This record gives sequence, structure tokens and C-alpha cells, in this order.
Amino acid sequence: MKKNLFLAIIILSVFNLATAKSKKAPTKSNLPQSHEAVILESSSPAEVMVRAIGYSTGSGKAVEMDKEAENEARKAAVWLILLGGSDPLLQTESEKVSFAKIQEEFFTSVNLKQFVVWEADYYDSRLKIDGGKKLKIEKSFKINKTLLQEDLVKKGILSPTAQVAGTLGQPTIMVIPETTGQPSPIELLKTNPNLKKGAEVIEAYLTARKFDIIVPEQQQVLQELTSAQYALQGTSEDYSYLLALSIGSDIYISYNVAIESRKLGSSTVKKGIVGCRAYETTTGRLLGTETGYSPERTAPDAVLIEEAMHDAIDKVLSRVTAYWKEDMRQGVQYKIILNISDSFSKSEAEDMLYAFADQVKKIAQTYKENIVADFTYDVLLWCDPAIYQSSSDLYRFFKQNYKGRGVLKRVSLNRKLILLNIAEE
Amino acid sequence: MKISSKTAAILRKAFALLLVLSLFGQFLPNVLFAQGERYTRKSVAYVDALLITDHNIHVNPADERYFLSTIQNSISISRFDYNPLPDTIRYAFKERLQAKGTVTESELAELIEATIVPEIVKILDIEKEIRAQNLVDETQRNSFIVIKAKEMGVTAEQIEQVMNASYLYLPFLSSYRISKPKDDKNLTVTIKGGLLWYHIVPDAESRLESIVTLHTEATGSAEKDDSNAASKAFREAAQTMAMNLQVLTRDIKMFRLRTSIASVERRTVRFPLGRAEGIKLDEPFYVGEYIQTGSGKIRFQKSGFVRVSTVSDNRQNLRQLSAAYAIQKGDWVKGMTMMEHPRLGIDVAIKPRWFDMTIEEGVFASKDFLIVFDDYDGIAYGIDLDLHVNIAQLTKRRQSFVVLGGTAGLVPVKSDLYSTDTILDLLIPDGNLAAGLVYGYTGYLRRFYLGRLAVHGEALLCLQHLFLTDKYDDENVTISNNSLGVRLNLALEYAVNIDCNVGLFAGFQAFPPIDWWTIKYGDKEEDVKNWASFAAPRISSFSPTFGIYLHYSPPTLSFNPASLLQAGMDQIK
Repeated sequence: MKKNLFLAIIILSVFNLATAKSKKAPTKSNLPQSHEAVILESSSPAEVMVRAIGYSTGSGKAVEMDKEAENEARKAAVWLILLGGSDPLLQTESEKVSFAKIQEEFFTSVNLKQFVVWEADYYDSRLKIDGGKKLKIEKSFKINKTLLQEDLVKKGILSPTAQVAGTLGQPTIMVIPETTGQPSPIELLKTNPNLKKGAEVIEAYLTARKFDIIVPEQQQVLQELTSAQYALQGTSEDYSYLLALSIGSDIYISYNVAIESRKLGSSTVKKGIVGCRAYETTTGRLLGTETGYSPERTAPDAVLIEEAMHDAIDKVLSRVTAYWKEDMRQGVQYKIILNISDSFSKSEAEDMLYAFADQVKKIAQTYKENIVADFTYDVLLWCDPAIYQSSSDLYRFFKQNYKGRGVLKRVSLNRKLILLNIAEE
Repeated sequence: MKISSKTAAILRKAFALLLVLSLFGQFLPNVLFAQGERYTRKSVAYVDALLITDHNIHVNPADERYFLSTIQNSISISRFDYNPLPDTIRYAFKERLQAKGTVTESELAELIEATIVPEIVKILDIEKEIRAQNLVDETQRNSFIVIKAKEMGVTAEQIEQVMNASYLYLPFLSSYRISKPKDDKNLTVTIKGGLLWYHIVPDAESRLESIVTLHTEATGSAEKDDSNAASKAFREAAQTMAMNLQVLTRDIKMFRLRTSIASVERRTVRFPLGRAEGIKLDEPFYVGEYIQTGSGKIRFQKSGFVRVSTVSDNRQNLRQLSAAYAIQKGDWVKGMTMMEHPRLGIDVAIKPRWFDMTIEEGVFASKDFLIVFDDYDGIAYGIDLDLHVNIAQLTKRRQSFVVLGGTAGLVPVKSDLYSTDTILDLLIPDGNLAAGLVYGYTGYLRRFYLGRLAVHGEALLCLQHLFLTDKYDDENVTISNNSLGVRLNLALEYAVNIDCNVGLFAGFQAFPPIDWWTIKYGDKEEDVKNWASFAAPRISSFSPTFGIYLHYSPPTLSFNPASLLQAGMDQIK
């Protein structure tokens, strides 16, 4: 009997040990549980005001619940800038993958605090949910987006702007108001103070983000000066140079401004609405479009335009930056338009196009033919920026390697637009 | 020396009120309406006209003017911005109101919509930008001031907030009753009335929405001999009504002050309200949080209460914080909500107590009466009914009060009361087994809270009446012996809830024997000399006193404590 009892105890003990589970609590993730956040405004080129919601995970002491919910709200605010919304800092798959490796340590409270430059003293709302078991708080934060970006660059998640600029060349951007024809954009900038204010706000953003800016009015002055110089020297004007000047930028941002008003009580409140579009100048490729709204106010138009433009331009510039990064991955983009003299026959011209296209295939990492006509060849190509750093490098390559009939000549070389011509020898 | 029946009537009413309210206080609902996070200032306009809903009521123009200005002064509290209506609008409204005679509430709304609302919208428009700047919340302010600081425009949302925050009130009188009791030298005016509160909704077609109708009742009295007795009594009642209406207005859901807690340090809570909102020392606030129930409703869940201990001057710097000390403290943290619990600042206390009386036998004799007192040295029973009027604003010391009160009691002393009636008829009256005892007193009380426990000490200057009553020539007669003395009390209390404390007290009272007698006959009351050739009765009390203590903070009173004090002063004169 005793023997059986002893045996039973041993069997039970072994069974217990076999089925026992580790009681070690799972480590709590630092990643934000809430992704509820919204950008209130881009208050300056560096800072963004965000309202975020945080939840506590369970009931407990009020202090602990508040601390946890507040922390979660802070994480949600930073998450929005990093990964949320339409224009996050981390845009490419590789950036996201790189960030995933460090996200646990990145979302620690100590680390996040350096990016939060201001927090509201009071909650926007505080509510116990789930019958009082959980706490939901809503709070406003101001996040330093530039600091966040620099930190990610330091950590090797993002490419530094200098690196992007170094390989591709600093993009130059021109800001012009949209026009349907007459008057010209420059005329509009001179006569319409609202459009002038719009351009100023965008230019303020661009300079803060270290883009190169071309001011249309100054560009016009430069053109006029150049013409005058040629005239003084008695030499004929280089029209191709003047044409290139008129194109002038890699990217142009066009915008429109509208002020809507309505009666509220017996006062008039106004709302600024701006539309902002970024184009690649030479290809006409649309890089980004955004509409920005100001709150309705009884304030001067300039204030409303500034607020609305802040809302729009930040997002558009994110698209421009994303485009720039994408270009860096594919190479530098150029547009080549080759024109063959009509003194050649169609079949001769065709052979010449093929000969030129063969050279395009050699030089380009990737290319896209837009138009292949009898005497015209329009192609987009992406080249290795390490080898071909400017349009003149490309032209030199074609000049040296084109083996077809006729002589390859340049009509104009712009930053990204290459106009070539093949004529009789 | 006179015994005022007015005082007795007020004490009776206050006693009944206290009982009802103290019971009611225990069953106050624990759930408040869900509200926004923070109080925003409201724009208020008033119609300077009195609406009389009963055509039998006739108030003379001077009294009407007094009534209106008293109400207006009382409702002019700091949490409101006032928009005085132009005289032309007011006169137009009054004329049309008078032309209509008695109006219903819907007719009144139509009348206001037609005459006053459009003007109010215009007025709001003039001042709204200035006012809206006070509404810019912290986030927006930060954005404006720190980043832009270029143009202090206001948003449509803020304008709407101002417009939506516009309210209108109209005082009304629904009852006016004068009573002239035969055996009282005073007449009493009792009035019923209140305020009609409207909200101006500034849509495309601005309209008026009725929010609430506040009702209250008030009583005033004055000596019948006064040629303006009815008017004086009416004005006293108007003051009481105004006092009540202010508390009731502060207690309207949208006007109640509420804010987030800025910090909690031990039992001290700091919060962003102050003189700009008109908060005062010792005012009670509930502390709690909003909670979403299973059905999705949001309600305010109270978890304790505080009393204001420091009032900051936040009229210039909005970031100045006031402080409050926790009496009933829950699990509190920064961000939780404080909600005002408007009260008069007058507590009603009831204190049953025991003390010793010493009466040495003796005789009192006047022209018509003779009283023979037996010896007595033993316990007397009484019940104190006090009003504690908070004077912390004056003394700058929290929980300091002026005490106004009275005691009603019995002394089981045997006595025989003879009158010329009984002597002439050779009748031997039945002996009295007890004499009545009334004290009237005033003094100072200071309370110290230690969590929910509190101790208070009070010093009182008292007037003592020991009295016998009889019928003489078919009229009631009251003969009193009077004494002046002092009482000192020390109490230990427990805060049952935000309105009610209970406790025990012990003290000492000293009333020397004084041969000072008063006879009240009909509505006449006069001091008389004791003509007895025998020794006069020596009625005194040098004794410890013990009792139990209950106080309640009522939202309204039907009488004015100031008039009670006045009545007390009259007695001493």
C-alpha cells in the first residue's frame, strides 16, 4: 500500500513538472498601442503640432494610468510623424525595414522626450472607458520634425539631405502662381499681394529646408540683364541660353490662393484655401498636389494664406523629398529630345534613331521612351550619378559614341533637359 | 428687553428647513450631467424689466426698481461677461410687455426674439473679438503667441463659442403676500418669483431657447408702525431672493465652474481658476472624472471634494493657479476634473445640548403679575439653531465664520404665576412644572479640517431669556427674566458629505443672575421693574455644556441672515 502511494506521488510530481509553464511575464513592447493622432498644423518649417490619443492598458492607481496613457499619446504623436499620415518621414520600404530593427529602443520614453518640444499643460480630454477600467486621454504636443529627421539620419535610417544633394545636385525650385495665360505669373506676383504672400511662405519653407530657390522676378531681371550685356557688347544674344534660363529650375511649385468668406452673426469670417502643386520642370511630371485650409477667422488675408499654405506646403515638400530619394535609387533623371534634320530620308533617320537609342541603352540604368517619331526621339533616362554628374557629361558621351550618319550637335543643355540635333556633316 | 416673535418665526422656519435639507442632502444624486472639459466665460444680457405673472400683484415703481437692481447686482458674477442693452431696446420691450398685460412664457419668448435678440447679436459682435481672445485654448494660444505672434485674429469657432455662450435672463414675480399677525408688531411680506433663463442661438435666423426657470421664495418683515413697512419688508425679501437666485444661477449646468486639476500634492490640489471667475475661499468643489458607461453615456463620477484654500489673481496672468485642500480625498491625479458645488456660504447648524441652571427661590412682582419661583439646581435641555456665515473673504482666514443663533430649551423649575385677574377672582392657578428658555447669540467660529475630521472653536456673546407664559384678559402674556453671558465651545466634527458635518461638542457657559424682567402682552413688549418686597429669584448658569452637532450647507434660505442679525441687535437695544 505504502509502495503504491509513494509511486503515485512520484508520478504526480513528474506530471506536474512536465506540464508546468514558465511564469515569467512577457516583456512589454515599447511600440505605441494607439495610432490615433492628427496633425493640427505645421507651426514652423521645423515643428509640427499634433493632437494624439493615449490609452492606459489596465486599471490601477490613477497616477499610473495617467502616466501610461500620456506616454502612449506621446508615442502616437511621434509615430504619426514617422510612419503615419500621407507624408511620413519614413517613406521607402528600406527605411521602414531599417527602422523596424531599432523601433523598440526608439519608442522608449526617454528617447521620445527629446523630440517633444512642447506639451499642453492640460489634456484636451480625459475619459475613463470600459466602465472605468481604462483611461483615454487626448493631448497636444509639438514635435520637432527636423530633430527627428536628423536623429534618424544619425542612426542610418534616413539618407542625409547633403548626401542626396551631393549625388544628384541640389534641386533648384521655382515658385510661381498658377495662371491661365494673361497676365503672366510674374505680372501676377507683382500685382496680387495674396499671391505674393503665398510665394513668400513657400520660399520661407524651402530656404529652411535648404533647397535652392529661384525667384521668378529675379530670374526675369537676370534675363533682361543678360540681353542688355549682349547688346552692349554688340554680340548677338544666345537665345538657347536665355531659353535655358527661362526653364531655370529642376522643380517648380505652382499654387493658387482663394479666400472664402461667410457671415457669422453680423461679422464676416474668412477662410484661406490654397492649392499647391510640385512639378518636375523639364518633364512636366507631377510630384505632389495638396490643398491647405486655414481656420475660419476674422483676420487679414495674409494671415489666412500663411496658415493655409503651412498646411499644404509641408506635405508637398515631403512628396518632393520622396521623389528625390526615389530618383537617387534609380539614378539621375534626364530628358533628351533628339531632332534629326529633315534633309535625311525617313529610312536614314530611322537608322540614325536606332544608333542613338543604342547609346541610350548603354548609358542608362533605366530609360523610358516617350516619343519615337520619324525625325524626333523623346526619351527619359536615369543614369548613374557617380559617373554622369551633369548633362554635359551625357552630351560628351553621346558626342563621342554616336556612330550613325550626320553630326550630333547640342541645341541646349539644361540641368536635366538635353536638346540635341543631328544634321548633315 | 423685548422678545421678538419675528426671531422665533425665523428660527422655526430655519429649523424645519434644516431638517428637510439635511435629510435631502444624504440622498443627493451622485451622478451629474456629462459636460465639456472646462468652463468658458458666458456672455449674459439681462432684460431690465420685471415680469409679473399675476395681475393681482401691484408693486410700486420704486420697489420694482429696487427689486430689479438687487437681482441684477446679485447675478453680476465674475464668470459672466455683461452686455447692457441699450435703453431704447429696453423701453421698447417694456412698453410691449406692459401693453400685453399678463403674458405666457411662449408669448414672452416671441416678444424677446422680436425686440431684444437682434440687438444682442449686434452687441456681441462688437465685443466678441476681445472676449474670444480669452477663449483661445492653450494649444491655440501657444500657436498664436509663440510661433506666429503676427496677428491675433479669432476663429469662426471662437466667435461661435462666444455667440453660443450668450444668455439672457428676465426676472419675474409670481406671488406677493402680506401677513399682519395680530400678536406681532411686525408685518411679513412673502414673495415668490425667480428668473427665466434663455439661450440665444445665433443661426441664420437667431432664436431663443428656454434653458431653465429658477424659482425661489423669500420673506421679509418690518414694523407695522413704520409708514413704509410693506415696502421695507418687500425689499428685504428681494435681497433674500437675489441671494438665492445667485446660487441657483451658479448651479445651472452650463454656468457651473469646472476645470482640470493642475497638480495634486498630498491633500493640496491646484487648479486654473481664480478671481477672474469669482471663486472665493472655502467654496466647495467636487473632484472626479468623466466616465463612459457601458451604454455609451458619459457621466461625471465624483471621488471626493475640496474647499478652496488660496484664490489666485488670474485676471492678468491666466496661468496663476488657485489651491484647494482635500476633505474627502480619492485617488486623484493631474487632469481630473473639479466641479463647483455652489452654496450660499451660510451653514445651518443644529445642536441639541445639556447644561445646568441654578434658580434660587424668589418673587417677581409687577403691576399685574406675580411669580413665585422654587429652588432649582439641575440639568436644563436646549437645542441650538445656528447660522454660520462664512467671513473668510474678510478675515483672509479659511473656515472663519460669524455665528448667529438661538437656543430653545426647558428648565424643570416649579413656579406659580398670579395675575390681577386670578387674584381678584380668588383663583389659585395651576403651578408651572417648567419654564421656557431662549438664548439669542452671536460670535465667532473657526474650523480646522484634518481630512474628513475637523475641530472648531467658537466664542459667543449671548442673551438669555427664562420665560413663563399665561393668558391675561384673553391675550397671551410672556414674562421673561433676562441675562447677558458668554459661551465657549469646542467641537469635533466629521464631514459626512460636501454639505453635512456631524460631531460632538463641549463647552462652558456663564450667565450671572440679573433682576431684569420683560413682559410681552399682545404685540407690546416692555421692560418692567420688579416691585416685590421679597428676594427676587436669582436665575443663573455657570455650567459646562455638552451636545451633539449637525451642520448643513443649504443652497437657499427663505430669510436673510442680515435681517436676523438686525433683529438680534434690536433685542439688545
